Amino acid sequence: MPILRLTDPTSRVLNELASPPGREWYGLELCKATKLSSGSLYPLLARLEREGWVSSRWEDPARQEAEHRPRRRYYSLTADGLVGFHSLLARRAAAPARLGTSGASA
Amino acid sequence: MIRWVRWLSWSALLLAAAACIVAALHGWALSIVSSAAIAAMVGAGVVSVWSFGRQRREARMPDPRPRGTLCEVSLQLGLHLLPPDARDRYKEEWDAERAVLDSRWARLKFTTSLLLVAIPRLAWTLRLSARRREPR
Repeated sequence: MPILRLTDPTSRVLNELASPPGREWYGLELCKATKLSSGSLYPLLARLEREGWVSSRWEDPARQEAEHRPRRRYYSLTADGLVGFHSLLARRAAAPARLGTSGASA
Repeated sequence: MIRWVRWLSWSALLLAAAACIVAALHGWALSIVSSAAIAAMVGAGVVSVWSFGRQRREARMPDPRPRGTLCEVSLQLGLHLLPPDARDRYKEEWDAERAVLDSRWARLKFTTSLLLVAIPRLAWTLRLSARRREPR
């Protein structure tokens, strides 16, 4: 699996998806929660889905029919995504410390 | 409800027809039975017209998906940039998102962002991943 760069939008989306990890979100809901535009969110979700960090499914037809609207697509964080996100967070937390150490030794 | 109304109106019509036949057979042409039959037929007619009107009103209920608007048409055109197998999925997904946006301004903002940023980036991401999957 290619390592993802933890950019600010990626971190915001993964943060929301990981709280709690099993929760399912639809696109607009994630847009509002992360304050990202639809233009940034969907390519990001597609990239995360391609990497296997996020999975998606169509909503149950019964609910969609009850609310008289087209089907929503729900996104959730996979187990791989959760592990990957935590490892990226750990690496990011360790990075300044490493820089500081190398700077001191140089 | 509609089913019950339709059933009642058909029953009234049948009763009225039966009453007419009985009245004709027994020679009670202008008796109470025939006037009741006429009243039942008129009632059935009124009920049928009412239920038909109601069905038509229900059939004309607005579709929550905005259709034929500038946003809709431009989104439809923009979707052609995406790989063919992804178009339907994103169209349906974005239609569902746009359907819950209450103001025209919010829908315009959402669609513009999709057209200018999301679709070109998605087209790149999806085509690139499809190319990676292809055997060399």
